[in-house]
Amino acid sequence: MLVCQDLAKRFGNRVAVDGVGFHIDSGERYGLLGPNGAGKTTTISMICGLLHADRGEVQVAGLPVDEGATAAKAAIGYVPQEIALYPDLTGRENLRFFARLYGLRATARDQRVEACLELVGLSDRGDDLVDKYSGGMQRRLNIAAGLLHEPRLLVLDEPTVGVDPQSRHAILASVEALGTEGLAVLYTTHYMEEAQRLCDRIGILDEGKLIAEGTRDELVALIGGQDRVRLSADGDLPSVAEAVARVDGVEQVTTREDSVELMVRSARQALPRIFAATTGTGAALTGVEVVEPDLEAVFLHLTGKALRD
Amino acid sequence: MNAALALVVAAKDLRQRLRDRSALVVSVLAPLALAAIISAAIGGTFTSFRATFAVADADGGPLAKAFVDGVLRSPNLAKVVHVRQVRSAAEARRLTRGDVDAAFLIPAGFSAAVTSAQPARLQVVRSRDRLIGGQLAASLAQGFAARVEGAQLAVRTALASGARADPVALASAAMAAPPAVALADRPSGGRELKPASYFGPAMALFFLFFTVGLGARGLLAERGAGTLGRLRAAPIRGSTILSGKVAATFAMGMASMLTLIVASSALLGAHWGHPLAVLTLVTAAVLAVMGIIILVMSLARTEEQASAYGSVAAIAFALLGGNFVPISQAPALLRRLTLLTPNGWALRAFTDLGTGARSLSTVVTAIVVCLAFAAVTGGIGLVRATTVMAE
Repeated sequence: MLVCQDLAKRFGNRVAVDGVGFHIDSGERYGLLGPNGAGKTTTISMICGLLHADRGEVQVAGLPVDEGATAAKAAIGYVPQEIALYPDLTGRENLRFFARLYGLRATARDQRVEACLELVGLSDRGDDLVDKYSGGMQRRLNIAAGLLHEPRLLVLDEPTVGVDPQSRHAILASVEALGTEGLAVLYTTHYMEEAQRLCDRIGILDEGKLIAEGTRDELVALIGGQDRVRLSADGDLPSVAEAVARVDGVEQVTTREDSVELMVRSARQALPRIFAATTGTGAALTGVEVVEPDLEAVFLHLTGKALRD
Repeated sequence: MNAALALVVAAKDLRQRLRDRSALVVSVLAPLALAAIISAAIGGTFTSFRATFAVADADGGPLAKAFVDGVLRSPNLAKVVHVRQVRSAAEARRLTRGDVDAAFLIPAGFSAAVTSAQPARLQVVRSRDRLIGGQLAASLAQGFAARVEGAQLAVRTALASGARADPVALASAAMAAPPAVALADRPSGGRELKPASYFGPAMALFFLFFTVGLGARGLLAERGAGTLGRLRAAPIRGSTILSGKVAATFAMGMASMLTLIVASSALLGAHWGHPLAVLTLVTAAVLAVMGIIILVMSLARTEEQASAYGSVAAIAFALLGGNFVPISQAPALLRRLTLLTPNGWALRAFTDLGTGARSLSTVVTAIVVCLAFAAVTGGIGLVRATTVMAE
């Protein structure tokens, strides 16, 4: 459904996207995971025809995408990161307007508007001005506007940014309810748990490059079964990091504000040696946490930094 | 460009503007209120000046009577001069401190002195703050003195020629004779220009800049709100989005002008002229103002900047175009500068139409100038606006 090949975009001297390529099949949910500034929104803008790529090609449903490609754009449902709605129109008026832009005629338009309001749980508030909606309700209507014309590819650009946990749950449930009937979904986020929960395959983007891609299990396998150990301590954390880095089995050490994170081959076997190494460093351990391998660990392993840095 | 989709965008914009009360204020209420206030301040017509003169006649003789009844109360001055006779010179002087424009003090023996060719004195006391009325009083007194002098000359000439008539009778006959040159005073056009007929169009054109600005800022507002991205992601060309916004802006400008024409005619009694000519001129003026505002706002990066630039342009063009001061009363330099502005041309044409001038040359020229302004400024502005779309 979506094929991106060697996409590149530069703003002045800054390289925003550098050779990104991936594909999404019909009915597949693909997550683009990366920290802020990794190039997710730039990539999406090129996919949706909002930005002209310096290099590379995008095809949706077999049609090339650029700024004037109306046929390809008709196959895409775009949900931008910001609330792209008119606050002085009602929810229903917003959806009817966008439905008209996608060529939906009267009866089909009304049916789709009602169906999308129902999907995001806003049927009873459809005649209220969007200005009167809570932030979470606006986010949900923002998603509904991208679904009106029953697109073949739905592009969601960090749809849960800045919402409360309850609304976030509702948004994720709405997205989970999609993905049937052949709809391909491209979902960008910097929340690891959202990518794990929603996506069949995940691409990890950092500094404009796609550094890894696969299912969750495939990505976790990249770090070779390593466990993540977080040592909380009071005192001289750099000396703790220096001491544990010499311990057999410790592959990688990262010092945080109030803890030291380690990538360890086998946490059970290495922990006694790690404890021993910390004695005499002048720091007092206050907690130890062993985390099973996850996407956060994968990102840490691949880039040496945390997703939310 | 897809015209049907452009209309969808235009209809959405108009729906938003209709819900925005500030649009109603800027487009209709404010210009109508200002035109009404200025018209009321000026009065019925630009020439509707009235002066009140106090007269203290201590003489009571025939010449004093001739001055008061024959000059001050003459039919020619009936619409301009109101005479208030008082008993004493002191009372007349007191009234010049705020109640009257000037006072005439006619001393006792005035008539006798004049008829006996003795020096006579007609005193004019002017109010300090009513300059025009004071000047008028002095002119009237000088005019009367000139006629008296003329009569004296006529009597002396008659007597020197051997006439045997009574000198007083000769003087009376000379004074009663009609002036050798009569003044014919009427406006140059078909009818006199009423302030409402000037300030109605003047304020409508001034606020048209703001009305059009509300629409022209729409593109930047959409970009700021993030909705422009969603529009551009839809299967709709940028030219269609732009056309929809231009159509909505034009509709708002026309609606504002036409509403003001109807309202100022009905409420203020403004004369606008032949409907077809007015409609053509309004259309050209709206297009010209749109061109200017689109160009000015295309220089802005944000909606706030656009608003500020638009306001500066509106005030500058209104000042130069004569929207605040009637062009006829402006200094020569400003009168020439109005020709650099489409609103100045439009206002001249509206004035001609409002006074029923038969020649349409000013109107046709104004329409051509406005359309040329629209083509040049609007063309450049729209090219720049396409870059705003792509950013």
